[in-house]
Amino acid sequence: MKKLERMLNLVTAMLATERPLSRQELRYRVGAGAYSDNDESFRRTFERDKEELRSMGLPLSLEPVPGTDPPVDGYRIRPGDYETDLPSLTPDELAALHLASNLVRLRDAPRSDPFWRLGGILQVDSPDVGAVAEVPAGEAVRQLMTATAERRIVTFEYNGRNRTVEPHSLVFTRGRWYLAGHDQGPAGSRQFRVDRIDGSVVAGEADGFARPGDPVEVNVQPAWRYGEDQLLLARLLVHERHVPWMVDFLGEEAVLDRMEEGSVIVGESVRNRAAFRSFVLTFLDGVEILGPEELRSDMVQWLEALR
Amino acid sequence: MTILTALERLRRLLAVIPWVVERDGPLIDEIVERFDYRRSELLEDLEHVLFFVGVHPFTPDCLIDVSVAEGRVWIRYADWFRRPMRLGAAETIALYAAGRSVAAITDDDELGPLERALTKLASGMAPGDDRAVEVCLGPDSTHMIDIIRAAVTDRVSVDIDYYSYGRDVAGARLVDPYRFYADKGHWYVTGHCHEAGSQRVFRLDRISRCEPTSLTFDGPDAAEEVVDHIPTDGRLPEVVVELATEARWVVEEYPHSGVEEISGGKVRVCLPVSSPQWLERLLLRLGPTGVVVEAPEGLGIEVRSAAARRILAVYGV
Repeated sequence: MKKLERMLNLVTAMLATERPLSRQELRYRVGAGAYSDNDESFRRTFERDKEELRSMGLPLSLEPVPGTDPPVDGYRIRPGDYETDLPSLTPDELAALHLASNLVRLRDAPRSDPFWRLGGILQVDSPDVGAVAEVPAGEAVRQLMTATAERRIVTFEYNGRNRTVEPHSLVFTRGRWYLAGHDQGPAGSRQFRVDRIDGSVVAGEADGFARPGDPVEVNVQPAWRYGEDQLLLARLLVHERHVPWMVDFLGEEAVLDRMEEGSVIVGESVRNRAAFRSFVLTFLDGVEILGPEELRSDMVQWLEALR
Repeated sequence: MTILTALERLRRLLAVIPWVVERDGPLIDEIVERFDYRRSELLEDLEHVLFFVGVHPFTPDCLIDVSVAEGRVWIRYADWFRRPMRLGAAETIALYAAGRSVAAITDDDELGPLERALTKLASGMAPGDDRAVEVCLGPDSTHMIDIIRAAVTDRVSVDIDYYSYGRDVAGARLVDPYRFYADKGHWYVTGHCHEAGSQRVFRLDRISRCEPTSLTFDGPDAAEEVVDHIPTDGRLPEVVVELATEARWVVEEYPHSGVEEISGGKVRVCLPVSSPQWLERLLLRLGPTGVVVEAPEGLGIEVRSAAARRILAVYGV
């Protein structure tokens, strides 16, 4: 019997049963000639088939066979775990989703193609625009994505310490992946840069925690907006050439005044003076700190030491 | 197409069976196309494999019924496979996140099918999961993105006002936009710049005005090199900077052609200099935490002093 036929019959037997079946029962039900008559080589082939089905994402459940003592391992696939409950996609919906997944590709992600299960791939009559973005998705990102989706507690090393985290939110922003969640010790809400995780991420059992109604969210505010310094509202005079960017970045509500020659005055909150000085210096002589005086004189002193 | 392994065929068959069951004799050709299945392999698998699949004792009433005729296929009595296999939670969430990031840059008029698909995907997710994984490619200034993407597709030249960060000047340019993409949290467009006479990369948040023109252009010149990164092969002048511990972010942030640990947590890094203004910014920001130890004529510490004096003049010092 061909491997494909054997595998299909194995899946069918596990789906059709109403109770877990032992290895020997499955051997019998998959049909004569499917497996070797030699017990040891049957066991090896069966174990490999089982692992391959699991690797395809088939939800094999392992339960003791009822009435066995000592308990014997039994296998089945519960139709409720196997069958999709998604509404079917119309051809235009499927095409739009497929185009989207081609525009934004998760780099290094395994090529297991979920589109077959959604109804196949339609040859879309669209211009070949190429990918808009390739988002890096290495081993750690894939582990964390599964863990976040399936609510598995993760452990990893970060900044030289072992962390045990309930992952609430995984976000790719500003070119990096960030994880936010509840750290179990010392307890608290925490955010991690995924590229700074040392070594591998180990995920626990599915549904290892309940996602709270107010999950910890990734927050990537500019560095100068959070810190230990006393909160100050800086006023900046922005040269015309930087106005479009600055107004887009801070928002129209930050504009305090517009000058005749095209420059503007904007207001911005500062809680970390060093980070703020660094930000202002990226504009060279195109942005001047008008006040408050302590921020202005801090900049002047910094520059005087460098001239 | 290479010959598929048993597992790859199983993967496809488990998707093909429910799809066929739901329809009244779909065309073999359509299955070939949708499921990336070679015709001969598909026919072999339907007629010589699936035909023998069922449950014990494999009498005719226990087998899946397959009939192929006139280029069409019917599958009956496949109750175990009447629904497609569920997508894994991580697969669903990854697909949903990718779809949402595209929806964020799609014109409302074209959003319908994608948005409906995303709503259907979300219906299979646990509460709160639809926001658990997000992909933010760049700022959502969709107006500019719409114009640029349309211009790339239609090969229409655009008239832009652009601020060059490297040279710290703003000006108007005529650009033939070739490719639109996101990288490290920013949107970019590469294209032929008529003013420069060669290909350039433009960051969208530095374009303050963008208007399509009545000019169209042919495809990009393949021979023309696109420089969309800072070369570290010695083409640019390089400076060696000694960084204190708190300035080590520079090594992560900028391309370099070599880094060396020295005592006390300090590192020495060799940085290509794309423009004097870039070096000015870096040295001014680093202050005492970054010391130039080696530099070609004109790119030493004097760059920092001159820039500091220029900015101090703005402060009336």
